Amino acid sequence: MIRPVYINGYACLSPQETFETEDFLSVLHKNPGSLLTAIEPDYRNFVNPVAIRRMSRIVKMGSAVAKSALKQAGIEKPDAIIMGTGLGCMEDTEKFLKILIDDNEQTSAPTPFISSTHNSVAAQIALQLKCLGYNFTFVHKGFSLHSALLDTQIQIAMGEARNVLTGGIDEYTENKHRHYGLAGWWKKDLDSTDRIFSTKGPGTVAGEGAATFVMGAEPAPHCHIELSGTHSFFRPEDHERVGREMKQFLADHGLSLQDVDVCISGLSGDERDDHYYEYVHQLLPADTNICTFKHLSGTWYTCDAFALWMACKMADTGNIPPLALYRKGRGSRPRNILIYNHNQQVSHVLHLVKWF
Amino acid sequence: MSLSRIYITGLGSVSAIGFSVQEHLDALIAGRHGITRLEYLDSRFKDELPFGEVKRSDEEFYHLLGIRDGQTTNRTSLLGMTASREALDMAGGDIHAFRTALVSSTTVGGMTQTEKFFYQFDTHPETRKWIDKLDCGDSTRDIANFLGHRGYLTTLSTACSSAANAVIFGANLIKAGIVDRAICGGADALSKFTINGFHSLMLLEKEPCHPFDNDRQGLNLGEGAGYIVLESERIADPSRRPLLAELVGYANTNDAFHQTAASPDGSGAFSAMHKTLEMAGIEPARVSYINCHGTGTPNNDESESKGMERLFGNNVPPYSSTKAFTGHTLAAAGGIEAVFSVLSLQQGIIWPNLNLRNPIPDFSFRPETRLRRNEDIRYVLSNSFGFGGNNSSLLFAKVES
Repeated sequence: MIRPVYINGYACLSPQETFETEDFLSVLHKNPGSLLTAIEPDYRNFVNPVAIRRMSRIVKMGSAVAKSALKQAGIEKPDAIIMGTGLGCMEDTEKFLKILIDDNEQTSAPTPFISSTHNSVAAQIALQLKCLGYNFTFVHKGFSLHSALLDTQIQIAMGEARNVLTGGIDEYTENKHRHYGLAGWWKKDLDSTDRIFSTKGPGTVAGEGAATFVMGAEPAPHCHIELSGTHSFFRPEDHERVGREMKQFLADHGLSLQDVDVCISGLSGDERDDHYYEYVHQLLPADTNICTFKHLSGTWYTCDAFALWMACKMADTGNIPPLALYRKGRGSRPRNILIYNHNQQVSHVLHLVKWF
Repeated sequence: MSLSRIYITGLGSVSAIGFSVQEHLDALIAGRHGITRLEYLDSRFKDELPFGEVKRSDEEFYHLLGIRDGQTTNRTSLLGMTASREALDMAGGDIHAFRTALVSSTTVGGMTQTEKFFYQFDTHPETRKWIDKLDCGDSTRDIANFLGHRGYLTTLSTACSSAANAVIFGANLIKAGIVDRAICGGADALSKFTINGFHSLMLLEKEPCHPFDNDRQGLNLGEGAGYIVLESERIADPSRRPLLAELVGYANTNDAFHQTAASPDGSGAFSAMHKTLEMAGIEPARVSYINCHGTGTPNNDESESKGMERLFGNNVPPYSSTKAFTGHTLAAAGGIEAVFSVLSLQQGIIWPNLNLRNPIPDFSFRPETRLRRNEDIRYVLSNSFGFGGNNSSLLFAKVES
């Protein structure tokens, strides 16, 4: 058991109005098709305007959420930066790849190559903050954010860092979205992205975004949220295994299923994936609130970062946004919030957030 | 957090100089490098630049590893499977015997196939099985499936320090009590993507690279994989398998200087090495040998030398870069060089820095150019530095029997 860490600041940039606003998901953004793109702010408010010109889109997104979360936490420079990303810097990877193929290896293009490196976001944030500490980037599909959170807990527990900037980030390009569509990931002919649950069959909708969290060894005076823990498991053999992992994870933190006030579920509308979520929904007591998020965020490898942002916001405000509520349960102020998500049935994660 | 000691019980490596740890040892002792023209990867640079290519086709790997035709396994995965299997076998085969983590790393993942099929995904349905095989985590998943691993797994991607960081995270998972054993390392296949990328940055040497030489022009790209098995002191048992070395220190720091260049004053290299020795509680003077990052680029070797000068003063221990043997294998480098570092401790040998003609005159010290045997080697420091100012050092110690 690793000691909990305190979430002293958090920020999220997503296809919904989540960034630098007091509002909590009161307006639904949706569109036809199977891609939800992030609503981007005026980056000049967060990043040095001279530096912006050289930054790729994903680095700008990461820098903006980092700045915003650090400001909330009242921290100028974290001791460590630990990011998770499923695909890394896709736009520059494809830009460089196209130049390489189109010009048959004749053209020199250093800038997109440099920016394609998977650790660019964490490195660029360190560069802006002059943060000389530990700097890690995990790139493992649906485990990417989990690994970053676990590493954050370990760094703090070992006394290597007192404040860590962590989070998850992914971007979609038109190409990448189309390619994954060819691989059967998305629903076809969807008239509105929020209708994923009522449109039966395989596939879901894509999304993108960035969420960062400033985790501390101690809570800041304004802080009432802890990340109690995070857990992952790989290729469960059956539904019961998911139930066992969930019960054990809660027990490790002194809780049982009855204590979960809200479960944020990764239900995606993809019939190949949803049976795990449906199993968990019926496992939880009838008065447990169940929220969903993928009709708001879309699916990306680190979309559980959006769910974690939602959990923080719920803990802080005491409100469950009606847009996210899937099954209404008890009306008490949410205290224990459990996130359950998996990526294509293979990579399963649990994150536990507590309000105190 | 427990303060478990971390022992190394397994090693595995594949690179241009060998398909097993034994073959690497033989090549290092014989001074036999693997820098040649490309025979397998069809790049326009194949007759122009030298590379550290692994001389085995994907088809041969499929056959040797018992992978069925038609399965979608990219070259990075094939290299990773080969080396991780060897490391696990050396540590004692059964992956289910202990709570085990697989912590792998790569920079390009399945790029070798993606760059072939990128425009064909739309038009050629038979290529679509490769669509989901590009991302870094996918190769780790392949390796896990190959090893029959169902436990903890994750992937690091921090450019050229990736495998060293995989070792650091694996060690921390053990110290945090999450697992007792961790298979850690990295794999990267040569791809046109990285060749053209480093060429764009003008970092590729036209002849076999000569790290720490005053006239060095750049690096030779290589490919390969290197893994080590870490065990907690709770399960490490010399009566079961020999303890090959102990991991006594490690650190990751950031330059925050430039996206691709190391700080010219060597502060990044210095801080990674310094923090590593601090964790181990070891005075700099006790380091027996440094296996340097030593890529052969003007910037790296200058910066790394300055870092060593600052940390060790006038007593820089014997050091060398083994990149002239293997080429720079990117994410795999820290894994392969961790293997070389443990071999150095076990064999009492300091590996030579090949191709050195004119040492950098600004420094009073120079790399070891001859194979030195029968050395009393107690502590070996291994450096890995990457883009994004990412600096890592690992310190391995001899286990007294």
